[in-house]
Order: sequence, then C-alpha cells, then structure tokens
Amino acid sequence: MLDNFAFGQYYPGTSVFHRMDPRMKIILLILYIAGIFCAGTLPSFAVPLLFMVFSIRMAAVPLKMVFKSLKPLRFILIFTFVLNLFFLQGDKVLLDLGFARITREGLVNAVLYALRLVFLVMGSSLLTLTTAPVPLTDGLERLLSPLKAIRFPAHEMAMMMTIALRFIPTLLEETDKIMKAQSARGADFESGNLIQRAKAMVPLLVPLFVSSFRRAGELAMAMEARCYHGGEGRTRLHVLKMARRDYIALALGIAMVAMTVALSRLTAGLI
Amino acid sequence: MELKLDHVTHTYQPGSPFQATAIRDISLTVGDGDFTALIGPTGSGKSTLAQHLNGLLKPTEGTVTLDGEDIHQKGFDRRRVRQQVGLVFQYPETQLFEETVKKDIAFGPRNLGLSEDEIAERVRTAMEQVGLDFENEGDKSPFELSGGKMRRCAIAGVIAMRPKVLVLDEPTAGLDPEAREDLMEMVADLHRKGTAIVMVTHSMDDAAKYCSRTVVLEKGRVVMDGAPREVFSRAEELTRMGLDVPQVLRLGMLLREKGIPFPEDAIREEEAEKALLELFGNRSGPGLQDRKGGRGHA
Repeated sequence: MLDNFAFGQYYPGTSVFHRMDPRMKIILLILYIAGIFCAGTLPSFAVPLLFMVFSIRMAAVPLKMVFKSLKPLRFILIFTFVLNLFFLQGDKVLLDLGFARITREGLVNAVLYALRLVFLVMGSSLLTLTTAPVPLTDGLERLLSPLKAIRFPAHEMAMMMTIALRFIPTLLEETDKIMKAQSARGADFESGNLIQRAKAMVPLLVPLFVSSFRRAGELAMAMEARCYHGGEGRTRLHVLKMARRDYIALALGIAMVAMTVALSRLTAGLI
Repeated sequence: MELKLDHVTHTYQPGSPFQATAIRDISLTVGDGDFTALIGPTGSGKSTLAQHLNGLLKPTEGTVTLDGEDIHQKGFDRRRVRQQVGLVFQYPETQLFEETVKKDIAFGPRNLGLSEDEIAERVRTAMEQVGLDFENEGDKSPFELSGGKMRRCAIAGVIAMRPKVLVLDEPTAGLDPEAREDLMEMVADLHRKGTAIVMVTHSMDDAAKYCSRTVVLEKGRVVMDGAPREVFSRAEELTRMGLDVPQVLRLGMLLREKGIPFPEDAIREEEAEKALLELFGNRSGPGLQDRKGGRGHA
C-alpha cells in the first residue's frame, strides 16, 4: 500500500557518485543550494540545471527515482507558485483580473521560487539516493564535529539521524501491516470526508505509537547491552577518506556557484 | 462457500530494483469444513498467499474467486470478502487500539454496519469463544491483558465478524506451551462449529494433529498438497527444505533404526501412544495413562 515512498530512499549502485566521500557530497549539496539561491534570473538557472543533469548522469540513478521525490511536494509547489504570482507586484501587467493582477515580475519570481524548490528537493534526494544512511550520518557527524567546541552535540545528532533513517522502512512496513490488519476488520482508509478519514486514522496511529515506544525501549536496551555510552572515545569501522574524485567534485561545485553568480549578474538587467 | 485461487502470481514492486516475486502460479481451493495447514520455510510466500485470500493483495496474475465471482472485478463489494474471510495476522496483538476490550472487538462488526444489539451479542459470543471473561475483562484496556490474552482478544476481533473462512498467520508464534495449546484447541473448536480454517504454521505437530490437509510451499510454489499423512511420508524432502516432521514421526524413525517395528504412518500423539502400548504392553502403560489423565482442560 505504501511502496511508492521515495524521499530518503537509498538506491544501491557503484557509480562515482556512490563512491564519493559522504562529507564531500554534503558539501556539494550545500554549494548546490547556494548556487540555486544565487541564480537570480531565469537564464542563470541554466548552470545549476546543467550541474543537476550532469550529477544525475554520474550517479547512474534512473530519472524516475529522482522525480518521484517531488510527488509529495506538489501541493507546496502549487501553493508557493500561486502565492508568488499574485503577491509580488511590478509594473508590467500581463493579466488584469480586476481583483488581482499578474505582472511580469510576479511571474518570473513565481517561476524562480518553484524552480528553486524543485531543484532543492532533487538535489537532496540525489544525496540520499546515492548515500546509504550510515555513511551519510557519519559524514554529517564529521562535518559538524568542529562545533563540539561550543558544546554542539554532533555525535548525538548524527546517532539520532541514523536511528531515524534506519527506522523509516521499519515504520512503513509496520504501518502497512497494521493498515492491512485493520482493513481485514473492515476499516476503510480511502473514502469518506475529512473528519471521517481523520477518525479512520485512530486504529492506525494508536498501534503505531505503541509499537514505536516499545521499539525505542528495546533499542535503547540493546544499545546499552552493547556498551554504548555516547560518542566519547568511540572509534569507527569505516574511516572516511577524501580521494581525488572528491577534490575534482569540489572544484566543479565551486566553479558552478561562481558561474551562476556571474551569469546572474550579467543577465540581471535583461529581465 | 468456495474460495478459489486460480494460477495466482504475485510480484512486489514490479519494475523497480526491489522487484520480487513472492508466489508463482498457485492454485488452491478452500471449501466448507476444510482445515488447511500452510507450511514452508521462511520466505516461501506463505504470508503473501494468506493475504490474497481476503483480497488485501491483488494478484499480479491469476484470479481469486469467492463462490465463482472474481473478488477484484469492478463493482464487487470488498466488504463481502472481508466479512466472509477473516484474516488474523502474525502477532495480531499489535493491532489493538481501543480503550476497552469490548470496543476493540466491536470494531469489525461496527464496520460491517450492524445494529448495536447485534454488535453487543457478537462481542459477547466472540469473547466466550476465545476464552475471555466478558464480565471481568470486557471493560479492561486491552493493553492491560497478558500477552496470551492480548492475542486472543485480537483474534476475537476477527471472529466477531463471523467469517466462513478464518485465515491465521502463525497464530501461536511467541506463546508459551500452555497458551499455544489453548489457542490451538480454540481454533479446533471453531473448526468443529463450522468455520473453515487456513493456518500458516511452523509447527508440524499442530499440522499433523489438527489439519485435514497440508500444503507445502517452497520458493513461492506449491510443492506438496495432500493429507498430512501423505505429506509427512515424504520426510526426506521436507528435511531437505529445512522443514521439520512431527515429533511422533521422528520418534518412529529412531525406533525403527533400533529394529523396533513402530508403524510408519503414525504422526499424531494418540497414534504414538497406541503403538507404544501395543509394543511395550503394560511396562510403560501406567505412566502414559497418568499423563493423559492429568490434562483436564479442553
């Protein structure tokens, strides 16, 4: 029932992108996000677009998987697009409906924001598609560890994320099972009005909470039984190491941001 | 009532890298009065098959028919299948959610749109059938019950829908021996009262003791199908699949190895008892008799 959930799913592979250091992939994502926010004009968006297309090719992930992550976002996308379309008012009126006007500036702005959202989600899902949860949080922990100096709990954050990511599929499976079990007792999750549907969630949510608490307790016990006592003095099985490909990727990432900024400046007057 | 699977194949997530075919080309008929055991190693597709029986999963290929009508055809009332074929999942106690035992058991009947009187009557009967105390336990929270009772409460929730076929997926998993036996006796009782049973199990002893038919799955296919005695006569093949044979059968094999002529077709406890008494006369008789006498409950 729930097998079309794509966001945060790992797509196994052996591409350059899969083998890259997770830290570098996170840095690349940050650079990429910087890039899409620096792109202030439509033409300058071509650079992040090309970078995305190139990255997807390098990652050897089917386009379908990347686009699937956009599906849950469709309402937010439409909402922000419409909001931007009507609320930013410029001089060049394209359409006057009487109560509201669509201006050229509003349209450009709406398209830009929608593009940013789309690219943001595509970029992040490319990261999670090509990086297994454990290396991902390992990378994050290492990147955040300088902040330990100001008492930022980098290890704990990373451990929480690892556990959260690890349990997404488990919870989905559990949800699926309970949904089926309640359907077998005649429950209906698919029809009725909003209130009826919300009510229909109770037989699903209560068991889900109960089992989540039970699982959390069991996990904590299992971790303690294996002498887990936080991050201090903990060594790791896989030590992260940057390779040549990582530095090349970094250079490409910086070049992408620089080009986007430049192109954005150059085309600023055009639109 | 006739529930029929006709050349059913099921593939999970077809077209994705996680594609997996769980069952292939399975044909199976469940009729009134049947007590079928589904056995097979882990991952052989037993649970997937069970979920096809009440239409929770739709076959990728093939059809499931109830009294001749395809349950997945347009316009077929899904509630009818859900009512006629009850499905008890593995560890069904994880689906409990209501404030009281009564309310939880009433969930199914209420979804069927029955009257309050009818619901109350069904809840009471279902609780009696599974051996829960209506007066004392009915208003308790289901989460306060012991593990074995939680399981029975969950099963009562399905029984209260009065299905003609009851499908149970490893109903005794994780229970202690006494709770196990109580539960199996409860299922046998339901069967005696006219409910057809399909039970997924890893217990060959239960399959031998209670079932009229045993279906063995391996890698998503039916590899054996017949009376328990027939199926268990192929002990070698079962062992090769990683399955067990009933204890009585194993005892017989060991005894025959030692030259003691224990009957080859004995698979049930009482058959073993009879054979042993014939073989050893009154030498070990009294002990066995005593044990039998000590088990008072039904």
